[in-house]
Amino acid sequence: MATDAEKSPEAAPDEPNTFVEGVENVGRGVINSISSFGGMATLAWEILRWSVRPPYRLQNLFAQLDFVGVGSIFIVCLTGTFTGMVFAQQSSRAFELFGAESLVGPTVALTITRELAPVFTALMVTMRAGSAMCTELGTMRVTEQVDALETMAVSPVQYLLVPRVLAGLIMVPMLTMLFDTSGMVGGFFVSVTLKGMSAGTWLARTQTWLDPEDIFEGLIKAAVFGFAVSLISCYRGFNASGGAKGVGKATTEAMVGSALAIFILDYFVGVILH
Amino acid sequence: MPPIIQIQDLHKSFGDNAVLKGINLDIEEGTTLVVLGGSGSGKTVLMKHMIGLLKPDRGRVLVEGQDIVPLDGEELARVRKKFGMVFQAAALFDSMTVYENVAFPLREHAKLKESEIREKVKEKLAIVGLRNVESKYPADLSGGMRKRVGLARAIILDPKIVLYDEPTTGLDPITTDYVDEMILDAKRELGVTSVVISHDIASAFKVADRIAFLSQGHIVEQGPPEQLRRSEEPAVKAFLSTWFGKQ
Amino acid sequence: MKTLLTPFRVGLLVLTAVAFLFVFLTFVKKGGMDEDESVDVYAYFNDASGLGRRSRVQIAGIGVGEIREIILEGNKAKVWLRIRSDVQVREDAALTKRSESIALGDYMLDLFPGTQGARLLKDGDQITRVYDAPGMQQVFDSLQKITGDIQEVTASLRRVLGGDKGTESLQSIVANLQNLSTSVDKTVRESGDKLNAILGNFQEFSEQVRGISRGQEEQIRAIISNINKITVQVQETLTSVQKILGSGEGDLRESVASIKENLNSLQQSLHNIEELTEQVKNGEGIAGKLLADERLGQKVSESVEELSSFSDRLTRLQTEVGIKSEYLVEQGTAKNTLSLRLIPRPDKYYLIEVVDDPRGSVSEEIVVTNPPGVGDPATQRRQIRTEALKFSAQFAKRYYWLTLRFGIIESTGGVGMDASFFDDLLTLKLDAFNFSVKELTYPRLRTSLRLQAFGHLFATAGVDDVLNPQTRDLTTNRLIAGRDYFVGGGIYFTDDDLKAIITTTGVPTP
Repeated sequence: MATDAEKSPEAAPDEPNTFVEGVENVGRGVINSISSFGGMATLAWEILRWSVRPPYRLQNLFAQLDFVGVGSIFIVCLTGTFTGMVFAQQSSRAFELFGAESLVGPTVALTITRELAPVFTALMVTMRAGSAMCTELGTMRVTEQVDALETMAVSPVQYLLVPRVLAGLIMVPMLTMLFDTSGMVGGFFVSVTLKGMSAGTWLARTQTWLDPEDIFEGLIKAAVFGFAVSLISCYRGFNASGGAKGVGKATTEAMVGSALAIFILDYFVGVILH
Repeated sequence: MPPIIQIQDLHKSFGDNAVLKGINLDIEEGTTLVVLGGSGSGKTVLMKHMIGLLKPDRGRVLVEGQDIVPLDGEELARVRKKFGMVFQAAALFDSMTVYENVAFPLREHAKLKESEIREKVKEKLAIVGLRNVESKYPADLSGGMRKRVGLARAIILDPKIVLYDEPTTGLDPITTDYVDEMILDAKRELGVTSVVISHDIASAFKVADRIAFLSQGHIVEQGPPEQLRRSEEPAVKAFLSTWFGKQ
Repeated sequence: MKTLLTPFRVGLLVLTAVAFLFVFLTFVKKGGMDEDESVDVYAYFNDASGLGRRSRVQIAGIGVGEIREIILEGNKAKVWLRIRSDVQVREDAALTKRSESIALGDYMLDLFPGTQGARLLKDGDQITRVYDAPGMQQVFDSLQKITGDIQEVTASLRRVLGGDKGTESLQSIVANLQNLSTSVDKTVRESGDKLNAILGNFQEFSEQVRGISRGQEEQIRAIISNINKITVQVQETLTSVQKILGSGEGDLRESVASIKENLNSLQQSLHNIEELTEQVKNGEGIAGKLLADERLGQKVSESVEELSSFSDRLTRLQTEVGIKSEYLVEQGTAKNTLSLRLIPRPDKYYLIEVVDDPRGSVSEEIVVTNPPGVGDPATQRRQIRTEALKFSAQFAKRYYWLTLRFGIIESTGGVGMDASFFDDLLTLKLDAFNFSVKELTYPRLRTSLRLQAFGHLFATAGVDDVLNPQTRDLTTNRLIAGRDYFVGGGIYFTDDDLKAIITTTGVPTP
């Protein structure tokens, strides 16, 4: 299944026409993303197939869970705290205008649990772990380590991709939970300590407005994002070609693709859940 | 006794680019075959067919009489265990130590105790002439040493066939010599069949029992080194003259 | 090592995340009653705006259920409620839509579960009484509050007048009443016409109220029953007043003769109130005005609230009276202190002390030494030591275990600091004062340990005037400055103790 295609040199236009080139790049990007969508679907199926087949490489899985999850705790908590703080700060300013500061808590809680936590966590994981995954796999691909695995009768999909995608799928929801918590703490801190709102009102209002469904929606999104981000990063890295430059290009594509996927999926998952 | 690898009428194209256009090649057990050819002649593609990394458009690849083209999954994996492959840049897993790299196929395919693994790794490293490098990482090794570790990993499961992909490319003359010695050592000590993909004429003439010359998707000449040297085939003559002409 | 550590870290992360999720879910869990623990009933609303799924249903401010669903049926909103089954909702139950807060547009439902004896509602039954006009509800709310307050006032009045000790205070009340009744009489006579006009207006208004109160019989009935209760209490009070007055001395009887008359007319007016309530029941009369005047109701309830918060503040003020005696080792005598501590808040207090210090206080006197007329008068400053009482008045503020004090300490400016340990059982006190007195080289620094025992007793030990060398008065050999050691103890009482003491010793209470 591993194709070492793309050996054909790209036909470079003789005249440097930036406009035509630009349009071509856009077109190529669109075609590329459509064709890679098919590739990704195939890869996702492969991963699913290999993930249920023994041997179960728990050590690899744990290494990835550790890398994606444990390694991202700090940055996710930090982002979460500040997101909550900024959100409380800004929304309290707006709500003050019509004397409804008591809505700051619910606003922070709802936006964080439903939108910001999964999206920001997935973006953080993309930046931290997705890029590393893509670069690592890309390097392994161009230095023939992937082929070496295959010649040693070890499925690279099972050995390399399954743990990574599973780690994304499992860990992004976990990290989202941390983001939820730290975001709420940050928002609470700003509202109560700096803005002088009543802690009781803040909590009671939040309790009234926040439903378990909101938290679950965020977690479902997080799982979808985690899967998508790690799949895209793996796909790009796994199919990298052309040396260090190719790996760099693959990583850029993985980052852009992951970020786009997060926002697009955010919309569709939201629509499906409601 | 039939040849250990038989390639019959092998065709392969990537898009419009036909790389292999009907290859026929037999490799006898216990011999060293060098596939010689210029860059882009399709040497690597040919080798990847032997181990099932690529599927041909047409033709058959027989390993010990079994056609591996239609094989997949477990069966292909079983065939692959007959091979050991040494990659151009060694393709060692750079997240693992030398010891872990060499032990990797054992851990994957053989149920051995850690002490047995340790013993085997030591033995194979000794065969390739390395000592006290177990705990080093690939990045800490020189190019030639890395290749030797790659060979140790390739032969750890005692394969019948070892494939070398451009083993001397990019190495200085002394290291090239070192790697050539390694290939000869492996053949002598293990009695394995070796297939070497190379464009290094000197090295090819040193290690080969037979040489097959690949040009434009065809094998235009094959036989013992001497036969190749006397070849009247223009592509061969042109290629060899780049080296012998200088002498 | 690494293979063990990694799963551990991952596991820890997963456990943390799951714990957070659990906390969140527990935090947001509300309502969510099982079907078998609740009753589903419905009601029709003309206006369900501000109500939504999961809006609260409450009795006396306590949530007893929630809204499950709101459907449009015809031009009415059919609202399904799920009520806890231990709340017995009966056929004559009533629902009132009420604003949860003024600023936000969300509402909740107040449930009146119905009266004993009416049929219990089952799943799928309807609550027929629905009040979704918020304006009226507010009026009723404030009225009910007012009647409650009046009830309390009359009850306490009765308590005051009821005892034997009341006679004395009654006399002054009677005198006041006499004055009041005279002036009221005068006012009424003078402004009779105006009153008539006002009454006319009221009557007109009551016509309108009749319209409003139609369909609100339930609340009105409740109010009326309250008013009835009040009148009964007022009557009781008056009877007891009459009794007291009747059994009083001769001159008292004479002086309150006019009051008796007034009481009679009061009884008359009570009778009128009874009539009035009859009228209100039918939607007539002056009281109708009260029912309709929302603003009046709010004002009254606001002022009542203000009053009660003020009295809260008064009751929150804790008082502590204490006495302390310390034996001064070098001096050989004791130093006594009487203290009053006013504690408006747990972390703040004012300390006022009267100190009898054997060191006395120092004052300066200018003495003319040479006999008058001989040259220039030679003056001499002389320090006079008097055994005067000293005063301390300090303000103290507490931060966790540290209390900072400042103010006047033993009649000079000073600061102090207390560090408390073991739930205030042990306190390390540090005082610095007497900063500017000439005979001392250094300010007077006192440090002591205070040990609390048996609730109201305490023991102290410490060093006084740590920094200065000892100086004694030449004539009396009294120590007037310098280091001294002391041990002592004391006792203190709080308000509650004082209350208990006072009642047992029979001091009359207001």
